[in-house]
Amino acid sequence: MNVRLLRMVALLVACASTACAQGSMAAPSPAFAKVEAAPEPMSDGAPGGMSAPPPPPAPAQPSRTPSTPTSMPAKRAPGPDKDASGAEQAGEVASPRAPMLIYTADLTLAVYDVGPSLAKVEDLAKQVGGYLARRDDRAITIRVPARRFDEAVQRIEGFGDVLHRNVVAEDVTEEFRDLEVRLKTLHAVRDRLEQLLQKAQKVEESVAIERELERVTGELDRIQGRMKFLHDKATFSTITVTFSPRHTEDVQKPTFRLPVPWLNQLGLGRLLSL
Amino acid sequence: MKRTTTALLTTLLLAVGLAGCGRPFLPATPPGFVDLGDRYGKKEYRAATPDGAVIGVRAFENEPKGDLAFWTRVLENRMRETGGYALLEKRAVKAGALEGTLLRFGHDEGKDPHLYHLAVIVDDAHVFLIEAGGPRAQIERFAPQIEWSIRNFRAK
Repeated sequence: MNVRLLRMVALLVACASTACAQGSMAAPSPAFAKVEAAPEPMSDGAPGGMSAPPPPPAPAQPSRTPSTPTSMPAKRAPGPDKDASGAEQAGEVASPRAPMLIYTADLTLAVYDVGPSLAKVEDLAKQVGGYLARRDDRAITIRVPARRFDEAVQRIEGFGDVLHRNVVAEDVTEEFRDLEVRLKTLHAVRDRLEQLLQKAQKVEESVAIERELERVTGELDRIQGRMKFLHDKATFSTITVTFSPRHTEDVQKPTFRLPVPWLNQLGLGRLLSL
Repeated sequence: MKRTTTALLTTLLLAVGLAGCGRPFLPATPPGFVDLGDRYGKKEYRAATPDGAVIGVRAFENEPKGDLAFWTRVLENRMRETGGYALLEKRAVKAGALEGTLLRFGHDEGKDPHLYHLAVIVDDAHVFLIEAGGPRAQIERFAPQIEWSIRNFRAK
């Protein structure tokens, strides 16, 4: 009797421990599971993996990818998108990424000779990997890689006496992230509309969906354009240099006058004063 | 006898003194002009017509000593600097035995065109200026008289 009871208890414990063991493998919080899983698509590069949104349209993602301009540099510019989206997916606060800053500098320099100074700034732009954006008689605007912005400004300041200096760093991180989110949402909307268009039965439905599809596509283009613009502005900083010619001392053309007083008494004025 | 000698010496000294203080030139007052006397100093002569044409003669020391070309150029430059005078003509003139240069300028006094003639005559001691000016119509009308006055000018 005892032996039989002991055997039954042992069997229950064994079953319980087995269940517990299985439970410990599968039971952790969903968040933890997702954090663990997130790196997988990064490592194997599978498109539409863990970082992709889970809704039903997801399986069609790989075939749609080529039609969307995913190669836009702006998407990569601000930071690690996939990590961020993975973190968001896991319900965590996204880790802060580097701010997206647009640097602009306006300098006014006093120089004696404007022409050569303009040429020096233009040469500098080429030396640091930038380019000339605009040039006129007195001012020049160059674009330089953002990472060499400080160096370029410092070197330009050596070209003359700095009369005015205005450096602005505009933080467009927030705007860029908003655009990213809207871009992602609009992609999803467009995909959904395309699917609906395929399933549409009536002409009126097709027309309405196409109209909406056109609107969404237009909005996508606008957002992508803005993102490209911001990316370009952040990648290449803008430096405008205005040269103010330093006036040399005005040397009057010397008037040669003999020290002969009566020479100052010529003319009709004196003669006719009777 | 002594009185006579003293009187002669006194007269001579006075004559020399007066000559030294007077004009170093003999002006020639042309017909139509009247001599305005010595009210402009002892080294300046002026004559005028009733209608505004004026002739004037002045004498200055030739210091710094220059020749006719030098002084002509100086006057030409100075009139150019003065502004408002346009050189119309430049030519050589004779004043007795002396050589001179006549510069003719046009000038607008207000709305009325005027003419200004400036003749420079140079000797070792002096620079003589003969000026003639006035409204263009008057100066053109009296041009022969002005030319005559220059020709008959005599340095002492």
